[in-house]
Amino acid sequence: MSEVRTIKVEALTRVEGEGGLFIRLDGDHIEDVKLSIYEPPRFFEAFLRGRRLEEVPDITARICGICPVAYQMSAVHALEMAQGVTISPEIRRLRRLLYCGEWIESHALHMHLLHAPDFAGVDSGIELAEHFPDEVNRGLRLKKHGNELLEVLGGRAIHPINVAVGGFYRAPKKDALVALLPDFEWGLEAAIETARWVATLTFPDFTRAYDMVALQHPDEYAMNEGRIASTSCKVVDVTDYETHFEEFHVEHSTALHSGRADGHASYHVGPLARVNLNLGRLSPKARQLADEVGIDWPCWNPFQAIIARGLELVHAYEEAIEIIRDYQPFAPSRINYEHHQGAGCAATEAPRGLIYHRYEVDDEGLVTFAKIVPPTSQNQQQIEDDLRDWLPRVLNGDDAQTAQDCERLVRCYDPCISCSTHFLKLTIDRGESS
Amino acid sequence: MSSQPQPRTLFAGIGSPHGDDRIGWLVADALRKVASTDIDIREAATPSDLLDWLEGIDRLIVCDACASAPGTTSNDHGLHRWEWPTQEIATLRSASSHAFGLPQVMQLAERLGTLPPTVIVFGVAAECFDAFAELSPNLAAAQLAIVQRIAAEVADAGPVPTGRMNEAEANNGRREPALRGEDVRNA
Repeated sequence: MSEVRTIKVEALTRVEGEGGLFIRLDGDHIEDVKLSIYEPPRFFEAFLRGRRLEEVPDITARICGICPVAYQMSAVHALEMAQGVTISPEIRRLRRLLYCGEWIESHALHMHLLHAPDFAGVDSGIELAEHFPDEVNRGLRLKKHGNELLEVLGGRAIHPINVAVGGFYRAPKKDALVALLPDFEWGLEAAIETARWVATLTFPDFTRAYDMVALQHPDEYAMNEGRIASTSCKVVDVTDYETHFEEFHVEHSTALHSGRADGHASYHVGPLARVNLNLGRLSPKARQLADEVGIDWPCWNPFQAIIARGLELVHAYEEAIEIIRDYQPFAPSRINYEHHQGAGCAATEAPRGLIYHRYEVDDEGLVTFAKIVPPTSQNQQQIEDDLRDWLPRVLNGDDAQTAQDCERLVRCYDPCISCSTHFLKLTIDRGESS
Repeated sequence: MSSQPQPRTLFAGIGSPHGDDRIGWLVADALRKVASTDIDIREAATPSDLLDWLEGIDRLIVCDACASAPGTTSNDHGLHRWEWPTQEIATLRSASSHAFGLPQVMQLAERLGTLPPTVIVFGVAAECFDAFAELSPNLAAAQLAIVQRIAAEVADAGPVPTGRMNEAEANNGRREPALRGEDVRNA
């Protein structure tokens, strides 16, 4: 008789948020794999109803301390559609610059402190700093650059408050942006070194057939505008997102899962999907690096998402420098509009992948409906599917080791699970698995 | 002969707009009104934000909300005070929504040699972390005392606060004026 046992990771480490992992095995047969999330995203949507649409960028920014810009960008684009607002090219470029700041901050943090330890044989970013102090210090400088750019554009360091429906409350001063250039020029070279460094890490030989999904734009590396492309299915308009992708409840998670509307098949969003679908639109230095890093694109190894992040880090620096150099203050910084009943949706590319918002507003400009689909909800089912394929390779009789190996896979997706509050809990973290 | 440089103090209030998790930002906002301008005062959304600000800092004082802590000592206002390094804080588990919690930030900065010589962490016992909720009644009642205690710490061995704090000043942050960003929007 075979032995039924479970492997549990009560609190996943080095992921953004509160999540756990549950695996039930009968011998070596995998009976169940669950990624549990204790996330209440729907609460925010309910909170938005009845609010003035102008409040939405501020409220949604506070869903996540790591990626507030992503929430703001999808929100303002969706609400602008609802109100028939067309933003100017200057506003559009400034929004791309803002997104560059968030990608830099988020990617640098994840690559150095959360993900690289998995490939360096250490347990934490702290331990990594002992073996690779120069690389970790470099990563922290890059992260700081991202935050400084957000501070100049967003009006302050945390939860940017300068983003408005229609544009920005105030266009930044040229001097404030130009002052960032020396750091960003250094940062571009440092980002290139970072991308080369992560490409030298040793990755598991693990590839899967993915349906990778990301925005695609004919002229640029898609951040806040484009159509929804896929490595498996046809390109669709963002307005058709809910026709092709569907959220659904699962018992073990407070976050909705997402799947293809037809059969709920999983799909993969994030940097790897973006690079695979938009390789030719990377900035020149990032594109050149993509050829140097030894990957025959498209890449189907989820562990190598860290390399895709490295390429996007380079891209974000290169594009940010270009925008800053060309920048001239402009007016109006915000396009005016009259409130009227309407509906709008938008998808943009958060550091962790595509984020979709849809709103309905009434004649008074009050929100009557809100829907937010963050990237981690979309990747959740994909992670579980990956684990089912990954587990047979890492079942070796040592369940603690198996649990660690599974966590490594989860971290490839940089899941941002519960982005609303943070606090200290006075219990000892034993990180038990049994 | 050059004079001895003044020690630089950074106060960082870690918080969010969600219930008692506001306390770090509220303390920062209250301190800004009374502390010497020589003190760097910042609000952080995640503990890892602190890593950006440590250069040249001699004394770091942090305030963050913490979950109830049975068996740990606090004063009457639910205020815990730790000095780094301490085993107690080293084993704290950050139940944060962020992968790199406060203890990890301390340990990393220490490893990289960027942690200031003096680090004091105030943990405020919190009850409510509901999205966009106000402070819980208990914490609201304790807010003045908490701010005064931390203000005294900030002033200790550093420049003296420029004014005596009253209840209105201490509680001023409850409406979190910084969140609305008048400086940006009224410009």
